[in-house]
Amino acid sequence: MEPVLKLKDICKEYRRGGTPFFAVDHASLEVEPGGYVNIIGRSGSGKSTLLNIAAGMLPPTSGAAELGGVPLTGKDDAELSRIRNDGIGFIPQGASALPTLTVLENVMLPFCLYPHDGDGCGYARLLLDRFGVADLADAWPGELSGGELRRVLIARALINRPQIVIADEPTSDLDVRSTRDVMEAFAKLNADGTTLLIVSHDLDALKYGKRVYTMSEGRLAEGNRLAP
Amino acid sequence: MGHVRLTAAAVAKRSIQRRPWRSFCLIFAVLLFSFALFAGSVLTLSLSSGAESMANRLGADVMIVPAGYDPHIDSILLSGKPSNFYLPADTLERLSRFEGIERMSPQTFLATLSASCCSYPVQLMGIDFDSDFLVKPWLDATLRRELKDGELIVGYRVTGEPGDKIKFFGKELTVVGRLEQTGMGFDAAVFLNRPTIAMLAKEAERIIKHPLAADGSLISTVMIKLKPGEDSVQTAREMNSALNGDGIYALFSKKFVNSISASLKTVSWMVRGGLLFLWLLALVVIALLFAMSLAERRREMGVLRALGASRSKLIRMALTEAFLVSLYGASLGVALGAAAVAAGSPFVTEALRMPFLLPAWPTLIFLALGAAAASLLTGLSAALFSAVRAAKSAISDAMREA
Amino acid sequence: MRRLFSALTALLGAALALSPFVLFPVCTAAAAGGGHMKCWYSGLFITAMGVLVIAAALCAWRGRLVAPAFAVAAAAALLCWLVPNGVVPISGDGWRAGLCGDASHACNAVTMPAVGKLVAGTVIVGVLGLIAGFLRRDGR
Repeated sequence: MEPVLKLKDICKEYRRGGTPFFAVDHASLEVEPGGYVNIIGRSGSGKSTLLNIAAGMLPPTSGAAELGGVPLTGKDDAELSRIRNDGIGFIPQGASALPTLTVLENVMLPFCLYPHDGDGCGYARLLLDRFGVADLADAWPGELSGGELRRVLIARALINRPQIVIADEPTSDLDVRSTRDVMEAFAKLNADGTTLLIVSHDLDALKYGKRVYTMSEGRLAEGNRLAP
Repeated sequence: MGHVRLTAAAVAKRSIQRRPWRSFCLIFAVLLFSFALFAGSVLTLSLSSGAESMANRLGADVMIVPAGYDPHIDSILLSGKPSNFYLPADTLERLSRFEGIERMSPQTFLATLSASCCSYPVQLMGIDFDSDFLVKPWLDATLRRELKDGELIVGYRVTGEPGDKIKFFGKELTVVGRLEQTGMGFDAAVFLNRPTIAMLAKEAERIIKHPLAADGSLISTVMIKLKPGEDSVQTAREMNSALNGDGIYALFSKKFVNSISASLKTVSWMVRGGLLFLWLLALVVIALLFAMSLAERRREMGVLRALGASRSKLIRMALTEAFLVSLYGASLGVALGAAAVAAGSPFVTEALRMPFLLPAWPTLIFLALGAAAASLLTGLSAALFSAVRAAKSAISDAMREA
Repeated sequence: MRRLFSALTALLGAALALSPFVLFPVCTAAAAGGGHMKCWYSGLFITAMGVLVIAAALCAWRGRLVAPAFAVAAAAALLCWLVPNGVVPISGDGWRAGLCGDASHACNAVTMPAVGKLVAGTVIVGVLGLIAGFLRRDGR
């Protein structure tokens, strides 16, 4: 079966004080449909950089990235943005809801960026209900708890029925209970067939995934290399 | 449970409402500029129209007034301030000796009193129908006959419609027409023939002694049209050297027109300078406020990019915000400008000592739309640089901002 | 903010309504032919407009049609200046709104200077209210 996401020999080079260094150093990864991949690693290991490349938000210095067989490299900004909108449900790190829109409007936002068939408003309400935050539809993001907000952002990521949901540190600023709620939501999503790629430095998140990779100094290796 | 539609304009409007003080400053900056642009343009155009009207209407190359009254001619010509003054009885005979005169037209002035508390002083101007070249062209085009005894034509700002009866010094006269607007003192004057004005002076004698009552042939000014090729400055100089000692003063009308034109130029330059300054200020303030706003929202912009908004879409969203703010400010500014023009126009001539003629409605509407469009463009261009810069930011860098 | 501007507008409207016959009365003498003078009719008009300004302010206070309410208040106030000064002529059968010809009369010396200031104030507050109405958040 064709992988949903395919990263082949990805490199991302930066210059720091004139000296080149590789934030991502020849990383390769394939995520199959229905897969649930965790990438763990210490701060500064290059996880977020790899994630940004995988989500088509950062061009690699070299290597190839494909989403559903469609190359992400060599595309102009307009094409890439559309691919990202339709094909990837991205959950950024931290609070990333627009404070000027209600919860419902935040969930609808990706749907409204481009013409889409169907009832975006109705589906947004359905998603909010699915994650147990339907009664917060008319609330403002600032009025929600961390856990509630994170579930809203998961709903937002699903509004366009993407091929893959990519989350960057989804539980980084949450308490234990909220972390558990969020990870269980992801697990349920995956059980329903959604493909997931999650970056985290929280080792407890591992028990919810199917495969794990470790990022260290820009290098990606399969398995948990951080276990004591 | 209502259905929600999320358009780019709706997102922009939310963003504006979320930051009320910043939005207020933006709207106010555009409002100030559009107000000044519209009101300034109308002022300049009205002053030009007034000056042009005056130059056309005056018609005369040389004006003869009693010596010592030449400064007062400004008041009469500009604001129609009522005056009584009379030239020596044989003035016309003396003037006829000068060569180069094509035609002369005497006028007799009589000021009404403000005896009745609801009346206000009006300048009555008795014209000689056969020789007149100020009012007669209008008469020929509209009334198509001479002014009879007991009839009068009102200036544009005098109350009275054709058929109305107006009383002066207890005598009822019939209004037969209203002059079109000139922007000058003629707008506040009433025109009659000389026999009628002499008759009124006799009636005025019941209240106050009046030289015109004793001698109905007295004249206040003589408007002189010179033959083609004659120099009005030279002619006026010759007349003054011959007649000054006899209480007669010759004023070449171009001097008056030129001094008005010089004042107009000064006012125009001041208005233009003020507008340029305001435009630069508006540009800088709007650009600064937008830059601050977009810098604050860098992470928001990053999130929008992450969700699939392209650079051009982001720029369009930022410009939509600038458009809404500028549209509101521009509309309010133009409306306020129109209110200021309407409220102030009756008093401008008095204040600036210059003729003032408001443009016709189509021109005013064109100026209003032009001012609004210019203000809108100013707001959009000021925001463009910040919008483009924000959109060009790398998504990962933007989202890293806390 | 909206309520503050509504309250100010109502206050100015009340002052306008009371100006011509209570606070800064117009001329009381009769016209030459008997009957009322032009300034009396102007006074009536100003009073009516003052009441309209109050009504508009109440509308804005309750959050109904905020922008149109402030616009109507500003326009009504502006007419209080334009009509007596003859820029917008209003007349009827045997009457006309205006001012006395004598600058020393009450309508010119007392009433209109005060009305002018109230008009300017109402227009400014109306414009501020319009902007505040535009910036008002839905449901808040």
